[in-house]
Amino acid sequence: MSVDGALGFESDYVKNREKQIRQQGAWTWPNVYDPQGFAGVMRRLNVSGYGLVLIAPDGKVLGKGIRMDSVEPMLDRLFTAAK
Amino acid sequence: MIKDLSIAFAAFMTLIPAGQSETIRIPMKACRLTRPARIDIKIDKKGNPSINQKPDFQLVWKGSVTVDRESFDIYLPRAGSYSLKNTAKDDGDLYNTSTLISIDSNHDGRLTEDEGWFANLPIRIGDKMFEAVQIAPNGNSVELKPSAKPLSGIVVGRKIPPFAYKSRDGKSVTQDTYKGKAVLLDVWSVT
Repeated sequence: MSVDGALGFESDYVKNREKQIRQQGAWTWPNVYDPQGFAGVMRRLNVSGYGLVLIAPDGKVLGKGIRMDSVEPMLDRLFTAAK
Repeated sequence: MIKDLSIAFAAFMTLIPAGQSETIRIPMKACRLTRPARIDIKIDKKGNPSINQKPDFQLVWKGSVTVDRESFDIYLPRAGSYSLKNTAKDDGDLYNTSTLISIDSNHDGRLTEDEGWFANLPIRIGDKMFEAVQIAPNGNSVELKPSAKPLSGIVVGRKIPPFAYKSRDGKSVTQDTYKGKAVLLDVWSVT
């Protein structure tokens, strides 16, 4: 899932941008909004806008600030451990 | 003897269990460690962003606090002054001017860029929340008090804190929505 830190998420611009991207077929996961933007995300999650967070099935956080090139190895380890 | 008593008292103060309302005073000792800085973004006049990784910054004060019988090292950066206040309009990490307190959440002796907590916001240590009450001007002590705020903040090795968001089509997404499934969470912006 993605958390959009854009303020003014009800604006037409933001609505249209999301619609455009979804129509391209590349966005299939839920996108949610923090009504206070990145400031709200910082308060609630203490996450900057860069890097991914990987959460295990039991809710435990496995990684934070993960760069794209590190995601696959972490997912491999997670799914291997699950077998 | 007075010096020994004050050291013993300071050590005792750091062992007060969290959950009590008393302020916890953490004496800090000089140290030398570095940690990655957060990414710096500059927007030019045309609105084009440039992303820069700032050089590592130095951590020069180290203390220890026990929460739920687990000891955590906390650090302060080198700074001309320390502040509990954010003078920027935004609490986002790009703009927040309050002191970034680093906490070694996974006890590995290294601080990563995700182990920082701004002093003006609630600070998660273990599975408890705290508020920074005071940072000594010279950095040799930090005072925290247990916070009544709900658990927040993503910490590697800990359970995700409760959250509730809505998608554009009105669907509610919480920490339980994907229970039993792995989740890749991406914080970003469409704008």
